[in-house]
Amino acid sequence: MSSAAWLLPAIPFAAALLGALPACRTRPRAAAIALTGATTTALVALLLLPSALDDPTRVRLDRLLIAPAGALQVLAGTRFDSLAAVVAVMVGVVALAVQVYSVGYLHDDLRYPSYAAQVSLFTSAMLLVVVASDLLELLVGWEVMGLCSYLLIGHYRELDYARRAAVKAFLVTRIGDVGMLLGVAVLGTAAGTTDIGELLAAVPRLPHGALVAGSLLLLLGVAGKSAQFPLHVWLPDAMAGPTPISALIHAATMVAAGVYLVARLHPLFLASTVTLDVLALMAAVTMLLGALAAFAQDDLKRLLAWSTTSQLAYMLGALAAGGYDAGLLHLMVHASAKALLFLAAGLVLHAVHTGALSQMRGVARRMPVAALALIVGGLTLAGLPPFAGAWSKDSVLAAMKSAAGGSGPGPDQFEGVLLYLAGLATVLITAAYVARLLLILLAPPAPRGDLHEPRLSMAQSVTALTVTCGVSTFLALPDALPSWLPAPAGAREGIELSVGGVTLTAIGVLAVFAALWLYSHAGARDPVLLLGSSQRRLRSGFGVDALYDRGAVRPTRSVAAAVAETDASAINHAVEGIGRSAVRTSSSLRVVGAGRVRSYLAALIAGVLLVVVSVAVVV
Amino acid sequence: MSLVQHVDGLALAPPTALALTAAAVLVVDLLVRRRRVELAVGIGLLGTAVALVFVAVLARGEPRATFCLTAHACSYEADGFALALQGLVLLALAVVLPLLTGALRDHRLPPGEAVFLLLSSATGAMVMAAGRDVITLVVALELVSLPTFVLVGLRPGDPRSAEAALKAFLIGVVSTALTLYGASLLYGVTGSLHLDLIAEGLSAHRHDPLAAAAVVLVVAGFGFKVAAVPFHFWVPDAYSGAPLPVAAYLAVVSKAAGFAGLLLLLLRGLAPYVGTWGPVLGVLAALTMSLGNLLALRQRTVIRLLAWSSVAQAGYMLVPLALHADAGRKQMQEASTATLGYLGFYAAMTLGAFAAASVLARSHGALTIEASRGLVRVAPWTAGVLVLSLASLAGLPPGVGGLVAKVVVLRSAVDAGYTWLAVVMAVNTVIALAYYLRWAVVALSPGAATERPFPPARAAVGAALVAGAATVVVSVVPQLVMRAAAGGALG
Amino acid sequence: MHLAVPLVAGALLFGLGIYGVLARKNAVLVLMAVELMLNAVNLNLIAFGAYLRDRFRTGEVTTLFVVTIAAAEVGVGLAIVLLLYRRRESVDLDRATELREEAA
Repeated sequence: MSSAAWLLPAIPFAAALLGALPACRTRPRAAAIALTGATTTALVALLLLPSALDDPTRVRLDRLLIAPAGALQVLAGTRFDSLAAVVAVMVGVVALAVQVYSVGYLHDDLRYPSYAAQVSLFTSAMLLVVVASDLLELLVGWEVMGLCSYLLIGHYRELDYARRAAVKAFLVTRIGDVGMLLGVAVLGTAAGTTDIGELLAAVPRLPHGALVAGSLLLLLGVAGKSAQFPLHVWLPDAMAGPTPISALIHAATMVAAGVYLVARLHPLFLASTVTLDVLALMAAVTMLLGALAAFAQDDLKRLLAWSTTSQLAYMLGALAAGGYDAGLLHLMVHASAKALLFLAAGLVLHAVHTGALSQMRGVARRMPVAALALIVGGLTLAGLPPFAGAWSKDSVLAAMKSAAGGSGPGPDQFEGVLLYLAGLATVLITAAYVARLLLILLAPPAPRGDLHEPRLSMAQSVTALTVTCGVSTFLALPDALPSWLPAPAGAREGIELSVGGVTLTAIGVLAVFAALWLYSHAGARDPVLLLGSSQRRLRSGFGVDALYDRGAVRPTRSVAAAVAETDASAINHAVEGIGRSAVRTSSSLRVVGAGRVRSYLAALIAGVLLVVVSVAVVV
Repeated sequence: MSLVQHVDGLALAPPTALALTAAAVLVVDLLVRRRRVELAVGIGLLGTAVALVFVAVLARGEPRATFCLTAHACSYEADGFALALQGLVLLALAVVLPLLTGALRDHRLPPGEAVFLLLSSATGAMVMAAGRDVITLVVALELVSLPTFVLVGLRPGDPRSAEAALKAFLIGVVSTALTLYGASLLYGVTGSLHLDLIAEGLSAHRHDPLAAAAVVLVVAGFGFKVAAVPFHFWVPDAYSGAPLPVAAYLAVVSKAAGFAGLLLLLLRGLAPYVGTWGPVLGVLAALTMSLGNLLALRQRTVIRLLAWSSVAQAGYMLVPLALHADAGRKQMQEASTATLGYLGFYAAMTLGAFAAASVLARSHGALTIEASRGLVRVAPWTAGVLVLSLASLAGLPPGVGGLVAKVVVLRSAVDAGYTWLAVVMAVNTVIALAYYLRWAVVALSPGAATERPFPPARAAVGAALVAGAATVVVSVVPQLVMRAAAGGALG
Repeated sequence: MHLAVPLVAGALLFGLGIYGVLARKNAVLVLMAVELMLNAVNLNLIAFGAYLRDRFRTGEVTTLFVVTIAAAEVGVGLAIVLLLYRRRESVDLDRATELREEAA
């Protein structure tokens, strides 16, 4: 079965290709292709899982294309181990749910066929990242994903803000990708290979400088894709896309890719304390910023988006603290919970036609499916036992705690302590915004008016995900969890979980819930009012966007405008200027005038002369 | 010393075949009256095919050399490097010639003369790849350049065409004069003009200011051909004044010839002075790519955008030549592979873009970027080729070829310790995205119903498809290009 | 004769050529300046050839090539200048500025 790993990206890719054919651009055909592709992919992923888990330490390598070519070795193939198997199942299941849901959600959308094909391509790219055996191969999937996110976020292209959001997402993640490309180049050069296995084996031999530089550059790519501070600004705006796309991006693809990359190359990151420090600080800042901003949002989807940013920081924080299993467990738990929350949010949005929380008071009381989904997803996110979030979150905190204690792998103790404190605070803030969300949506009285029922396909996939999320509760229980994911050498072994820790977290979460319930119950107030005047600043994510606008976007524009002036004619002007000053002293040298060719020639000879003189002097 | 020299005819066969074809085209054109365009282009293609067969035959055998000064110093070598470049030139010619048919008809150019000039220039490019002494290289350089000046000025009745030709000509001849002056100094310092003997002589004269100046000067003419700063001024003017297929030829074949000469000269002849020219080329590469990309950003016409883009791409191709002072034979070999490999990818994608632009020029009349709006409706295949080529030039999937090329080049910069150059290049690739993607988006977006004064020329569409297919091939199996490029310039 | 004499003369000739290229507005005069530069090259080559007593006579042979190159360049160059003159009735380089970057 092992060699079937290439099927994972290949099947959705084929579905995307088929879906792009003109003959398949009718709605029923497009839906049939997309659903068949997604189902097959999920099935293949599930079928591959048992054999991978049987022997979790085994890595199955299949080199499909081995091409030694001069200075560059191109090795494309699949690398399938328990990590890839588990993440592939997650991607496959969420993608399937999203495809099913989309049939209903985009029922009246004329562009559904191309949308379905793009979702298939997106899934394919993510799975390529998952099974890639070579960093260059991974990079291809990584870039295709960026392209798909651009297309899908900008799906409602008649909306100005959707187009802007798409461009923003593309450009911001692209900044990260530049770092990623450079990082791959640095590491590939230092190790003499870009094959993931060989690279990891070469980590002890790598020069320290290359290791630090390479891993920091990769981290830039991770920050871009996983929406971490300071490159987090695209994620809240990406809500302009259709809701199922938000679910796909937030749960299983795009943002998960960054976390996956850190897990994939975990030994590399663990070998560089500087990188771990940066990662820990980045995670600490992002998790607090994201959670606070989520609490202050007025829009349902933006609330969920900021929450994703914050939770991704949780996973990266766990990985920075050396908690390999903890981080991945949280990745999976969060994926199911967030996909569920987004799809349930989609049901609500579909019914009330607005994203504003203030318009949603009590809506969920009329929508039992959405209500149940929101409660299960929300409590999982908040980390209340017995939902899976409690276990994953506590194991993350346990890893951070040991890092704060300075034991084992991880960042320096100072960063470790900061990370741990931020983690603890985030638990409480997360509880607060989940409580706020649930309180608003479930508050009595139920609104009157026409709240139309969700379409069958939407209800089905939400129900299925609710069940998945519930079941994951038991899978995630530490005792039920076999050692699926053997931690790589150097990381913390297994999942540490203490009954005391879980209990304390639960008490904290419950206390926040109770406090907010009392507050909002006394006078039907939105708990966000607690923030007072600071709400606006928090809502905009501490104004980072505005800062970028002032600090980067506008200066870049003016530089671009200035550059537009600096064309050949400007060079000519410079040459002519020199000429003009020369003519005053010696009228014989007539470089002056608007003579274009002669200005070219003058610049040419001046350039050569400059080089000749400097070279002759230096030699 | 024997007065009779043995000349290896087989080694010389590819350029000879092309030169004879050029003459044949001219003669046949004099004799016939009808269907002159088809005949001229047809004979040209036939000659190209014959030359390609010779290249393939030579590639299967051992490397050959002829015109030998001593047993080891030959002026013409048909080795892996030469044959790879000759193959590239011929394949590019096979795309440019069909493209030319449309221009020949639309502008009423004299077909025999145009094809003759094109083939003569290509002959020069082939000799350049195989030349191993400075005289051969300079003569080849002139043989490449002089016919292109005439080709640029070939559009009758258009004063801009004449102006473009004049500008290219003046900058070209001044650059050549600088090169020759440098060559004369180099001869004085080393006592020879054969690349290997120059290298020997230079190793004996390290840290000689005169030699350093000669090294810089001798590179000038080749800097003109590849359009590196500060020899780039002619590029946008010449491209926009010339018929489009000629611009495509300048961007691909002529540039390839320039790089062939540059690689041979630097890596083989001037290698002992790598500490002198390595950093200079690093700076020039950074300047060239930055200037090219920044200026491409503001262009509104297709042709000037492509022109500045070709300047920027030349900057990328110079990056591997930015070598460290202690670079050894292995690094030089890798630099040659990287530049040559990039050249291969670049040729495929640039020809695709130019071919699509040629289709566009005919079906839309005006050549602004805006005019390509709705191209996907009018000519879906051409639009596909255009978008693929632009994606490749930008280094984005699905144009994997462009991505691989950029990674190879980037790696060599990091390898040589020029981290700043790698950063500049990375920033440049981001800038470049803006204008490549903007054009691609315009071509793909549904536009107002476009007027089509002419139907697209069939030959041009065919050429575009061939170039597109080549881009797909090098994207799917990039190792084809890298393997061909691995034959180094070091002999 | 000392080697410096022809070399300095060559350098002066080359400088004169560069001056002519930069200073002349008339295209034909610029062409002549380029010829001066090429002849400076010839002077250098002959001088070095004599000085080095080159077995292969590289300097002298190269001079022949340079002369040929110069002739070819002038042929093409005059043709282009003539073409421009027919279109514009002027060989003033400063008036050939139709092709340029558009103003932003």
